[in-house]
Amino acid sequence: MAVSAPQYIADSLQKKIIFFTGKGGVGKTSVVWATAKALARCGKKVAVAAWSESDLPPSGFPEGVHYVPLQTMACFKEYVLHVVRFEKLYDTVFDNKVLRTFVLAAPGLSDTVIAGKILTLYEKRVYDILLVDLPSSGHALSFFHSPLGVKRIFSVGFVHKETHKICELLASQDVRLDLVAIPEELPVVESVELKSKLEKLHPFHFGFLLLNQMLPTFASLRGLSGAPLLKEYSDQLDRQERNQQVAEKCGLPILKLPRILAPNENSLIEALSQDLSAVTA
Amino acid sequence: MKPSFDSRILLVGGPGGVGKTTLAASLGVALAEQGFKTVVLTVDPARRLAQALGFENFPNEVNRVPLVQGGELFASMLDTQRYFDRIIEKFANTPDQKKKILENPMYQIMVDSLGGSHEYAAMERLLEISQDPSWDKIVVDTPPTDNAMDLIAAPKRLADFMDNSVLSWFQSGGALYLRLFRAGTRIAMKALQAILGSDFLDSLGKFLTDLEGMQAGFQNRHREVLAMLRSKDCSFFLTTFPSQARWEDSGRLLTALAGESIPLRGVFLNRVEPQPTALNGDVSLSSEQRQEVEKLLAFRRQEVEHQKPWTEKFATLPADFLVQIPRQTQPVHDVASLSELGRILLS
Repeated sequence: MAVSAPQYIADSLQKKIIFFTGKGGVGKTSVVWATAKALARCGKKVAVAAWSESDLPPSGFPEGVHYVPLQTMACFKEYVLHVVRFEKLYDTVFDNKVLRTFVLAAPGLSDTVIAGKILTLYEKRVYDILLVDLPSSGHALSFFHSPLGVKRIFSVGFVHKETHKICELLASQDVRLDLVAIPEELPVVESVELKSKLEKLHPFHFGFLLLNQMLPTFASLRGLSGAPLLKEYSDQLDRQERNQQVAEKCGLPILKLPRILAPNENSLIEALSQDLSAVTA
Repeated sequence: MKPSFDSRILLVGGPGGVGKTTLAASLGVALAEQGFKTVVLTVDPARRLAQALGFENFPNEVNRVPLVQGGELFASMLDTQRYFDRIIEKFANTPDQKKKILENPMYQIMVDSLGGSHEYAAMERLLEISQDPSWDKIVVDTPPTDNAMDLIAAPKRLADFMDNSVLSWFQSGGALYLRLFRAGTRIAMKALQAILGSDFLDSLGKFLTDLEGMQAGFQNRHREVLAMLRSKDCSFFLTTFPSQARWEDSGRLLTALAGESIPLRGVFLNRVEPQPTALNGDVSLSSEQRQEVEKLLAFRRQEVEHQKPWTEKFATLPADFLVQIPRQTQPVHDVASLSELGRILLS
């Protein structure tokens, strides 16, 4: 089932958190940024949270949108400060190599503290809408898996309580999970597989499959094969259509986004967000 | 400079979604056809590529891939869980130690979580294969990483985790973690206990105690892996795609490699848009079709222009060579099309 940009934006305005994932290289981050920009245009306080090494937003990050870097050590520190209330104490006791090694590598801990950070932002209503730019498929799965694994091991303690709340949050009506793909074979197949794996983890509210980088359609050229230019285009359209049929197996409404050949990331985000803000599809 | 693939280990790496697995497989086919006994080590091939490489039924450790043109090609798919179990088997000092570790729930979470387990297993497997002298060429399709650094950083994190300084926190017997000598450590542990819960620390402590005596093994292997990556035997090939985003991803990866003194040997620039050819006069079209042909041509030219600045940037990288691979008009998932693509790589 195809949906229009206004339907996508209208549904997004009803959510507090939207998670996005998909195979690497499908333009997921650009789609997230453009969505953020379109939602901010509706007057909402919007933030994009992303796994990041740096505190600063990457180049091309849209203006008028807040940026939340998700860093394991910073998120861990926030956790600790719930318990140890003095920052100075944290710095003297926790800011050392051994502890960093421990937190970064202790099984499941990194994903748990990052999920905890997202939970805190939600509970404190810091933003109207938080868009979470998840890592690509494999890591996104392990991210959603970790609270379940951790729940088995932690039976008391602060994290244990948090983990329960995280699982509740993931199943909440306020939260949506979208998949991003491009109309090529590997990404759509991976989306179908990813959806069925995610479904087994949590009772998510799935939203949309965003099919990015669709070829422009020149309808009168379909099926022509008299010259290499035409044959190649027709073949490409046929493949795109077959891949779209595969994508439909996800059972999600599909929003198609055009392939935009912009000279840089800024103008790409601007063009894509204009597309999303269009009143009629 | 003409592409050269004279080293024995060829690592094909790069950001996600650029066609690494397909290019690694093509390179494997091409090298095998040249008479080298070749193995392709891959992580998670898409189904149809897996079929072409002979993983249709459950894979053996190493599968022979039937080639049309002749040559000895083998493929090996990495199963992280199975491989990790084997690493534990290898490093465990007693059967009892092995059993304890494999049954600890911490162990399962460690394998599942991306605390570096895939990357560690991939590098460990590569080391093992490389020690078998019967392989002439080993092509490695590196695991897909969000963060390009992970391939190198993650195994190190895991090795560091096994390090004695972390272990010493836990290994003092009995109510282990509270009886520690340094006051600071005691405060840290109390806070951790409040946050994580005593049972988590207990089970982690037990897990780390179970691993006692194995840490040296992990650390040594990590050093051997790094030595292998830096050796003349090993070449790194960046696989990428001419766009701004991939240029930035690639830059981060190359910085990480340079930090570990691993040189960049070659660049495979994948899916380069070919110049469109305009129609000659003998195709009969309606006026509407003619108009759309013009639009299609304009779009194709724009695609070429769009990639150009990034293609030029990639050409400035300090690599021995750069191969441009035109966007394939048909999907590549049988041995014949892999072989065709492989010839482009070697040309």
